[in-house]
Amino acid sequence: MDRRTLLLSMSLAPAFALLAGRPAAASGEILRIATASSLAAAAEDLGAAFTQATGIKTIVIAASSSTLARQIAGGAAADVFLSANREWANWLAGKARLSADSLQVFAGNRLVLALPAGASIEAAGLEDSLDALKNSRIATGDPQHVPLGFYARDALQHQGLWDAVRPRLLPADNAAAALRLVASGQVAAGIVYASDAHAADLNIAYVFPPADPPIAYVAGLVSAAPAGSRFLAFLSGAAAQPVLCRHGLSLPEDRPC
Amino acid sequence: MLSAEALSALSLSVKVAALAMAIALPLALFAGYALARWRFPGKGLVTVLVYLPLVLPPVVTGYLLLIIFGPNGAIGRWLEQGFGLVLAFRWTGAALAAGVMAFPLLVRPIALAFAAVDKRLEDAAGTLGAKPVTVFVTLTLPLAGPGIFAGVALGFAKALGEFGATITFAANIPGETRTLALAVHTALQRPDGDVLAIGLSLVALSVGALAVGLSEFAAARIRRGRNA
Repeated sequence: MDRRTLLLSMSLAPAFALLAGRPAAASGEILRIATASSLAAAAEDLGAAFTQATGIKTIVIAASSSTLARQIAGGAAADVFLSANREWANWLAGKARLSADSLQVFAGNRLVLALPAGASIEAAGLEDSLDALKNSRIATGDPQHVPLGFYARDALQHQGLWDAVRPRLLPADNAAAALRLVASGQVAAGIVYASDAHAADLNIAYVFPPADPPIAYVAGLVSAAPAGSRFLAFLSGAAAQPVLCRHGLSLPEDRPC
Repeated sequence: MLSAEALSALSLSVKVAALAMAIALPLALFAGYALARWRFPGKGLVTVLVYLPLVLPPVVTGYLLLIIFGPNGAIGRWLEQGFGLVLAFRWTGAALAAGVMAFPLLVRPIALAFAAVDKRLEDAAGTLGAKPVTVFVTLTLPLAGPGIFAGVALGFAKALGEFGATITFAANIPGETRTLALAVHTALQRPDGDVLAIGLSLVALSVGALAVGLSEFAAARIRRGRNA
């Protein structure tokens, strides 16, 4: 084999390995984590910590929980599903694509009205703030399917402001897209997760009171791979808590960070 | 019967595509004529710019529109401060996105049609005393008619169904920018959205079939009119 053929076959080998559905190197197991977009950064860190503890590699697939639930129901490959609400996890369990027994709440969050970094308004309280922003659209998750949108709708309904704000909403496909709209200054404000607002260094104009039922991140098993149950155990264990806290998420049952 | 959601998305799509065509057609006539008939410096660059939306990923076109015409964009800010005109996240912005995406499809047949018009006929009209504008309106334009019609049909269909640039630049606001394509996309994000998605898709299918049928019918009429 001359040098050129050798180089060619070496460069093509990984491609063929991929086509054959096998990882290029003998790296063993891979855990596919389908996660709500608001949890993407935390899931990357949790995956890295999990890999360090177990040697199992992880791949994070982030989108709206609604989109992921649909894709998983349609046969998309995933081992665990981290949903930003119970509804879409339960829906998937109802389709027998998620083990209902495995469902566990592992983190919580809060909602905030956030402005781009450096922006400010002369107002206190939610209603005044929304009034001060009346020329702008308010970005949030699409209340037709995105959990963030569901939470925002419930929170606004609770304060009797839903009908007033609804026509002004800028519904995004997922929480990360809503955050981006605010962080990039495309809109003057958004109702986003507190964890996301902190991570993006946004200016927080108002913190919503804790929701009832509370905002809950739910994990569940999609595949029967043993790595999946190990990850769920890891998620509720002591090693995961500092990672969750570092990303501005709260722990279940009001456990302190 | 159509659901309120489907009806809103459908009427919005028609409104967006109509505005897109109303603005794009005069520009496309000018661009098509210029590309077919004139030689000028930078013609290559203009050609590339005109046809670029055809080959760019639509999401890139939408993103570029957001950078240029968005609330923080140079032209976007100028339009808002100078004229109170906001495009991003408005239905007019959806029309801009649809118009830009449809532009190459509009220009191509128009340019070919203008190129095919026999220059000697125009020269003859000129020697008989017709002013250039008269020649253009009474001779060139009618002769290029079928090509212009084909461009409009194609462009309107494209504008009606545009998705990537629209959702990126104008977002997905119900009643404002959620056109038929975006409504189907939204239904497909919802785990329980199948019934809605199928209903909306059937509407899109009927509209598409109707548009193709109408344009074929009109093209046949034009052909018959010419042969008569």
